Amino acid sequence: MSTPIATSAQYITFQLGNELFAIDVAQVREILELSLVTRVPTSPDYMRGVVNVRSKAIPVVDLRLKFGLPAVPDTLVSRVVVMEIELDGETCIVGGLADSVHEVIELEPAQISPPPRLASRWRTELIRGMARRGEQFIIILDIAAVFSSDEIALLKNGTAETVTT
Amino acid sequence: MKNWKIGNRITVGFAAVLLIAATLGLYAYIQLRAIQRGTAHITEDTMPSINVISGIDSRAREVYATVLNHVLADNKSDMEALEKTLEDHSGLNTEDFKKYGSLVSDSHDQDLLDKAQVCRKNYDVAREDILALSRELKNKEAIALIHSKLTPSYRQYLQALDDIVTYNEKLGEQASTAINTSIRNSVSGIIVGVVAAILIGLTIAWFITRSITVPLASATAAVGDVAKGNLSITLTVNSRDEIGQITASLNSMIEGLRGTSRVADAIAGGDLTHDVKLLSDQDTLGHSLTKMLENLRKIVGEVSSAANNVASGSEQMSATAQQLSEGASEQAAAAEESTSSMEEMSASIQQNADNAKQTDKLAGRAAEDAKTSGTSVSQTVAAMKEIADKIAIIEEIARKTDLLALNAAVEAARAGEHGKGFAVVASEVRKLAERSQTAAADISRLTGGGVRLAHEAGDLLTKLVPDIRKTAELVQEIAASCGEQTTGSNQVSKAMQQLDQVIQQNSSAAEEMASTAEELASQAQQLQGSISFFKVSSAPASAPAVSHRKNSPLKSSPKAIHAIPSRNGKPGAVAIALDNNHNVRGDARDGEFQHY
Amino acid sequence: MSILPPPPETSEILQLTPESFARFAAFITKTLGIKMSENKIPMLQSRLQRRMRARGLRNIDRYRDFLFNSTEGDAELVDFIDAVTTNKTDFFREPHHFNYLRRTALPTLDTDPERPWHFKLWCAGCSTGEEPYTLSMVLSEHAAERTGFDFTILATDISTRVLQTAREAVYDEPRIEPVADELRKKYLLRSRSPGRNLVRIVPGLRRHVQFNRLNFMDADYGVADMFDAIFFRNVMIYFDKPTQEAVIRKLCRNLKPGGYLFVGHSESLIGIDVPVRMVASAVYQKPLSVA
Repeated sequence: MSTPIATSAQYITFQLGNELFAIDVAQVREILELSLVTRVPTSPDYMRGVVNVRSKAIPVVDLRLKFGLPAVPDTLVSRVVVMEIELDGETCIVGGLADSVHEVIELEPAQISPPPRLASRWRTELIRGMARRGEQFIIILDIAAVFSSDEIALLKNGTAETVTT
Repeated sequence: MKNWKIGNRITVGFAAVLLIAATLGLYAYIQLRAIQRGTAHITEDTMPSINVISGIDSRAREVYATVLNHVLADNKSDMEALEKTLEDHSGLNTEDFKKYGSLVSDSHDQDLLDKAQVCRKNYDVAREDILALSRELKNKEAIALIHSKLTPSYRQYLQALDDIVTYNEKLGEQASTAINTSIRNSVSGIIVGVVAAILIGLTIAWFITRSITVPLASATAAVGDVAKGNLSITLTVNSRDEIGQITASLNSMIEGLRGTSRVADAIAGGDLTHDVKLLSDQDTLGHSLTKMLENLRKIVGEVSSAANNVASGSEQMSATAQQLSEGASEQAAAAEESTSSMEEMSASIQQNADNAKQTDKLAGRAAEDAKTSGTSVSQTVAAMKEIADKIAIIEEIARKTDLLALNAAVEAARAGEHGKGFAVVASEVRKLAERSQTAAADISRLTGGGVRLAHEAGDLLTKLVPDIRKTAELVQEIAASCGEQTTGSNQVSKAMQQLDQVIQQNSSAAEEMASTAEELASQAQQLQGSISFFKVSSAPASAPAVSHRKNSPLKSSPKAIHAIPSRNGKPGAVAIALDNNHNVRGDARDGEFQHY
Repeated sequence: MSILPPPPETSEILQLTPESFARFAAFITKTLGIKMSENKIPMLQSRLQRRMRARGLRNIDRYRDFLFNSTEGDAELVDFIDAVTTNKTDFFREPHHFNYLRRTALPTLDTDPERPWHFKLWCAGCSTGEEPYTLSMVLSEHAAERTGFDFTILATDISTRVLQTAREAVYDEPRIEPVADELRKKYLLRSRSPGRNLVRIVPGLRRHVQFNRLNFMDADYGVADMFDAIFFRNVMIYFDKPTQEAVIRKLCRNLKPGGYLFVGHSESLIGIDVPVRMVASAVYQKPLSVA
């Protein structure tokens, strides 16, 4: 369970299916095009593989699969959001594959409501809050919660094994 | 008189007239004889008597004068001359007396004559005395004697003569009166007689004429009537004369004619059973009539049987013709239907052929079009691909720009307050990039879809062309076979039409034959009827062998006539509705039928 | 002996002059919708001769005047129409249709075999009755197999003469040749007198058929009922295209949606605009819902 948002911050929005998600821009390093992804054998389905970013292998997680959404073919607007996640005092670099990445927005705390407790498709522990922008709801993700430590470890392993490609 | 022969009647009539004429003639003769007698008495007695007496008288007077002259005479010669005269006269008188003597009519006349002769003698005596004196010239004495004797005797003599004359004149007058009476009598008698004769003659003539002309006139009238054909008259015979006989003959003639006429009447009435009664062997009319009757009987018999044959024959023929006609009209209906069907089918086939031809044309054009379209599509595809390529580049750039802007925004965000200005620029750039990306994406999508579609279309068209070709070929084949079919069916149709025409003509002919046969049958019946008018034997007149068909199927079609069509006036009105209670439970006619 | 009138001149009877033909043809086409080409002269002639003879007239021109210009002309009109209409028909003519009716049309229309069903059929142009009685046989056979099935046949024709014959339902024996033996036993009666080769339709079959006079040229047929099927066979062949279209349209007014229209095998509805579509050879069906 994450803490409520008290300050205004900037977020980057991306899309998965019909849902719009947001991540604190502080946790985002850069946005990448979906270039060649090297699959990592024996990794889970949502583990897309690794990409080479400036000679550094970064693991890419298919956020659709991670959130239990059906897989869709990649498109030209498919993007990899390169995130810096603090886990156990260690910063992990993870790429999240989104259908598309939209923009950087600023949200006031007033615009953000706590995540709904019931009747949500999403596990509430992964959500920091819900923002409303016009007609659209934006789900603000607690990205650290999304990637649990074991997953990170797995990612690390995956990265370690595939970094050479 | 009526029963007298006309000759007798005329003879009697004429005899009567002749008798009257004879009587009249006799009467006239008698009267004329009486007149003649009177006249003869006057001319042969009275007149000569008077003449004689007159001569005697005149000579007596001359004698007297001569005596006087003698007295007066003084010479002998004169005396002698006078005496000579006296002698002559005396001689003449004597002769005349003698003459008169023969003319004496009756005793009184004789008495008168006697007296006159006495007087003459006295006178003569006196005269001689005187003469004697005179010759002696004793005139005085002579004169005295004259006075004393001669003159009285002379007067007596003259008186006597005068008496005779008077008597004779009286006789003459008597005779004249008698003549006049006779004449008057005969004139009136003749007049009466003539008138009577005329009247009687006329009467007889009238009667005779009447007795002849009246019956003759009626006979003539009768003959005239007969000549005019009127046989109803009968003349009354009321005499036994020639006219009566003629009338009787006329009557029997009329009777005979009547008999003939009755026979002729019977013939006219169709009854040929009566025989002609011959009046005699010379009855030529009767003979002719008999012959005619025989011939008629024969002819009528023949015609009658012929008419019967014709009637039954034509009846049969009519029935057959009727059957034939019905068959023919059924056949004609079938042919008509077949022809109509065939025509319809021909029309359909023709339409198919036309359609096929059109389709063929369309297919050809479609194939051509498809080919052209294929080319166009290929070109389009190429052009679109090019566009797509170009767009891809643009898209790529836009995407890249977008990404860069996004990353710049991220960088700016991460830079905090220092990056604010940059963030705005980055946001603007990103928005622009996004817009151009969206536009490019749209174009790309469109061209992509277009290319795909065009590709597909191209492929389809390419594939279609041979299909269309194939179709066109097939359609051509169809068109060809349709054409053949059309020709065929047209021929069949034409043949059917001809057949139909023939059949219709046959039907027409059959119909006409039926009509003619029926007409013939009816005429035969008429003929039969006509001929049955004649009665040949005393059996009842031969009835027509064929009864009139009252219910000829053609003449009257039994039907419940429904009101004639049009309900056009009131659309929407229900005229026909199914009757659910409509129940045919069978009728009387079902009794005539049984189950199989 | 000149008792008899001279026989009539043959040529005088025969003549149907072109003018007379034109007059008759125009009248027939207008009143009956029957097309009359010049080919029909012999036919018309033979048919008019009968009427002429029946009326005791001496030639066709006089008959024409009698028909069109005299006061008795109206009375003659019925007979005239009877005479000029063609009535060719047989039992089980074009049998394909009866099979189709039994095997296809009836099962298709029979939506619920459990319910009682009153089937209504219109035999338009029934002529002397062979067709409606054939249909009556076919439908009776069907009724024997399907419980609760009843039917009524409306049979119409313009000719009162043929309707009279049809009502009488008595036929010459040769005419029933196409009727199968087992059907004869069930549905036909034969004359008791052996000399007369006559047959009659059983009352049970006649009961289902109702005859009425109807002229297809009428603006409105005035038929109250809606029918499951209409047999209109071998009538159109006498009509021209516009008349065919008009008549079919009017008939279809009384055809239920989904109902069948049977036309003669030589007839087709190609090229005319009517609210039915072909489902088999010379068989048409009215769509269930008319768009």
